[in-house]
Amino acid sequence: MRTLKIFIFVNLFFELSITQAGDVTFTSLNDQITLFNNGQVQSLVISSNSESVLIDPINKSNTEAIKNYLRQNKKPSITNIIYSHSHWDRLFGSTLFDTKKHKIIAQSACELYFTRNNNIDITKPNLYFKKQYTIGLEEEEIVLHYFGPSHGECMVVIELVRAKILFIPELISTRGAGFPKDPTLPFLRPATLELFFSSLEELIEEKQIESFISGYGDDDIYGSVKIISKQKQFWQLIHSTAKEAEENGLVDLNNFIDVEKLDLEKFSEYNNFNKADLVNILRRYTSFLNMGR
Amino acid sequence: MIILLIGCGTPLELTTVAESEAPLFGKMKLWEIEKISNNLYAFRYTFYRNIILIGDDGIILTDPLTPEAASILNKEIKKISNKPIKYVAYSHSHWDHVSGGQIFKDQGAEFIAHEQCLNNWLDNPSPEVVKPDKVFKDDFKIDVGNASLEMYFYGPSHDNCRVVFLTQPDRFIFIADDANPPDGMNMIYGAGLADTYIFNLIPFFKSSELLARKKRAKGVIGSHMSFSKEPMNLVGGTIGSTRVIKEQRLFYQLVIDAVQMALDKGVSPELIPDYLIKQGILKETIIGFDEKKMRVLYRRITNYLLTGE
Repeated sequence: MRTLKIFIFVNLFFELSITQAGDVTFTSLNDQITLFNNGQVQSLVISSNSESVLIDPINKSNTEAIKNYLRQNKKPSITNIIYSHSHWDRLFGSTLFDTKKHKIIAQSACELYFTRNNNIDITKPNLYFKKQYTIGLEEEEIVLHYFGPSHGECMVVIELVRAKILFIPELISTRGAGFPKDPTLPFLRPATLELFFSSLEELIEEKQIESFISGYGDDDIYGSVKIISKQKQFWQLIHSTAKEAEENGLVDLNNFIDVEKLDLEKFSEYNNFNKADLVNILRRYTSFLNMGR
Repeated sequence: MIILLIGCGTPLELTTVAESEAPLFGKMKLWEIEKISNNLYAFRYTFYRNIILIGDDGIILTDPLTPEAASILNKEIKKISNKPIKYVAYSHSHWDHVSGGQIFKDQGAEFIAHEQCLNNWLDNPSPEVVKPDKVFKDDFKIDVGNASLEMYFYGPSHDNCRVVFLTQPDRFIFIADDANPPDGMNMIYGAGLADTYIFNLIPFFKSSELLARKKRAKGVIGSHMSFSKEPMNLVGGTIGSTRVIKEQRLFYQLVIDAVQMALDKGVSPELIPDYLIKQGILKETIIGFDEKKMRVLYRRITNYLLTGE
């Protein structure tokens, strides 16, 4: 294990200690918070003097690497595991934890997926909460916020109170507002998405939060919270475009919109803009307008 | 009059009792009402269909569809029966099936839905959707004397509250948005499976098949017009064999199996749609196989197999 110490200018000057172990990079964000990144996805482990809390045990090798990292850096072992949402691709390391010894926490809407679609490679949570759940870790405090269905039914936003940082696992990239990675929007919940963003904005305003960290492995570490409002505007633009297209008879029998007849300039300012993706994104929204879901 | 042989029962006569002058396209009218039995009628408006049960004590309607459709149905049903419209039963929560019920509410009809549908309408209300007066959890029976509608919830599927309707005494099954006669292996309309709870689709259809067997269902009534052999060769598809329920299950199972096979072979998830299309998988099995839609469907199923949702 090799350790590099570098200084990176973000919004403030932070001394970031970076450690590489196999395919996992550990970046110490402060004395309590460590970011781990396997190149595809990233998440956090937060430690006090007596316990550590892991957000998303991505896979077994990553979880082993995290445990080793904590041991080697004389940090306490993991007592609490937070599932940011129900998707298996962020939870495969969970079988390395025992529900008799560890608290495994998820939002209650996740329960449907864990119980009705059992996966023996995922340990089921033993603690569900509805709206908010707080874990006190001496100076740091971790607050899990549920703002309704957004990316899937049960994704939570995790607030690190002392650090004034949010961890938002999906939907928003620290590189700026943009088109989603998968334009077929398999997990998007349009009916409650605006409420999700508005609640997030309220939290940011109330707590004077300035930056967030995403769950994407190819993102910059920090993003300005201004991106969140810009991303909200993106979805509002998609919604209003689909609505106008319906009103103007531009939607075909299969619910597709002829994007050639749209003003595409307003979309081009968003990252990863491309016409083919826009067709699929708008198709999801015409379905939403039709079904209410 | 159309005579249909379905299942192993007696031939069934399907009579059009009312239809619009305006066409939808081709010979297909904008709307029509077909008589299935003295107790059971089907109303098709554009591509959508609901069912009407008439008993000694009153009328049960299902999904009002839209305000325009409901207005037409209200007018036409009075020409068929002078019984009061006592109940409106919702099949699921999607607005394109359940809008327009106010005209029946104004006549005193009681609205019934699965409890989760109400939650969906509270999350995202529509002024055109009348909220249910009564909700239920597992199953519910609406009785109007010598006709009744049984409603069964088998877990989330097309949305999180879709129920299976079984009409009595005629024993027809109606599953909104799936299992449309004449064939359950038809290319599906919404390949992105928006709002679909994929993990429970196969169990849902298995339960529906079991219901059909246990209750000796005579057939299914399609909630949508369908096509025969070729896309856009539209057929009414009002009634058909209960075989289409099993075929619908097989449709989803075959797609899931194909994607799982590609994942097991080590095909990178993002390349799976291209890989399966190139291999011609399911091209001869799915009627009206549409490459563009199949790419979206394969992608959706890949996401499901990787995430569980």
